[in-house]
Amino acid sequence: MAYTGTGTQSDPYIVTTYAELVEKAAESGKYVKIGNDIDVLAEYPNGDVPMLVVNGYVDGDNKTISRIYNTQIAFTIHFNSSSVSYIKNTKFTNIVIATTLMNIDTSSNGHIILENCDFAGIMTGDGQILESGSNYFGSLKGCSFNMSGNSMRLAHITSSCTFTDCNIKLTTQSRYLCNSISRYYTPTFSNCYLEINDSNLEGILSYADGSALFNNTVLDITTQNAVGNINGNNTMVSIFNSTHAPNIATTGNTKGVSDEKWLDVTYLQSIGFNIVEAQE
Amino acid sequence: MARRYLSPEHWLQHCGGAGMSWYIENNRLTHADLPELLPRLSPPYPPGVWYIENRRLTHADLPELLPRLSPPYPPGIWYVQNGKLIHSALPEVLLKGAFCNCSELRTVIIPSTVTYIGPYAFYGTVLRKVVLPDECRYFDTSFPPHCIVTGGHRE
Repeated sequence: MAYTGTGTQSDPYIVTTYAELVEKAAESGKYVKIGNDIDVLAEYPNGDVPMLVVNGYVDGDNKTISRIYNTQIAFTIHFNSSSVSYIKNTKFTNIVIATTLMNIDTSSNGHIILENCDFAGIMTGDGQILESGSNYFGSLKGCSFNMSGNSMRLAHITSSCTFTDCNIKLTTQSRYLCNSISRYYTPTFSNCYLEINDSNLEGILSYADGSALFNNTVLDITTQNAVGNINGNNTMVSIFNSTHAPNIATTGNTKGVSDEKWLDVTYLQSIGFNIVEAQE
Repeated sequence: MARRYLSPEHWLQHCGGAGMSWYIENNRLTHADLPELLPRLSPPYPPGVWYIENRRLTHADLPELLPRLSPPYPPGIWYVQNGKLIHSALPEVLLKGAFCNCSELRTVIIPSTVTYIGPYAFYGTVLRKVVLPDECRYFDTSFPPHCIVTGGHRE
């Protein structure tokens, strides 16, 4: 079925195949809505899946894009807009990719938004879930990531990047959770749950004197390595499971909590964590 | 009135004395005009407030995690099914056997003169039980994994 609509906000393109999505999302400033679930591998059985370049606004309308199978090209989703562009309300399941999942272009100023998007799958090579180019600002809200990979990082950051209300579960053997070209560029996590299992972890950020900023966030990192401080100089207290990573120190408003006290509401309240006793 | 300081062990004992409007209920001092405290927060919770559900920390705006991979799997992925490691791109092993993979075969009568049933003879059928002559030899793979074999001798 061919797409419908004119690409305006009130009459978005309605696309029903991955090929149509790739074609229409690349149009600058246009609005695209996904009309049904899309099985990418069924559409491209040889695995030669084209890169999804986003220059406009994609609303997944809570549909699922499954089996993005791409072991050749570096990026699966590429934001290329010089202004604001977004993907919202989309589930990406059964992802199998070689390297970087999403890239934000480095050539011009812009701001990308990922909102209410879920990503689940594996990365077979060395790469990151999000690569953020200079002058670009990435904002991720209400997203989940359940990914594993041999050498996978959450983000390679060369500009600001914020994660809000994100549920992140990664199993990897990467040296760093995030790469950064400068200690001044740090990711910020607010109201997030980070469950990271990384036996090879050496740092949260690749700069020894830099750190991600955590605000009202739960950090459950499992590693036996000695990793630099986890810094929490933010307004609200974050908690860190000190049993699962005994060699990581915390500073500021990030508080180490042993496994024994991890679900002890009274204790968590006593250290300033914003938690309530759940009611039936 | 002079201020009186009480040790914790005398707190409930003395403050609940006669002539005072205070009394002790559920091990706590109270009086008739004292309003009950409301719970600090109750569902649905405001954004950013953590609580514990199913032994896990969560909050109202936190999305659920999707499973990393689920069927149908993309190519090149190993998975475990029925206790066996399977690769989505591997061709199926062709099994040899007279009735192998006859997926509609539900019942069979083995004559009393049969003395040998080879590997994979009935593998891949839907046989649930089979009765063999006492002298009949057979193999682990002669019948489907959950088929109940009565009689015979397994090799």
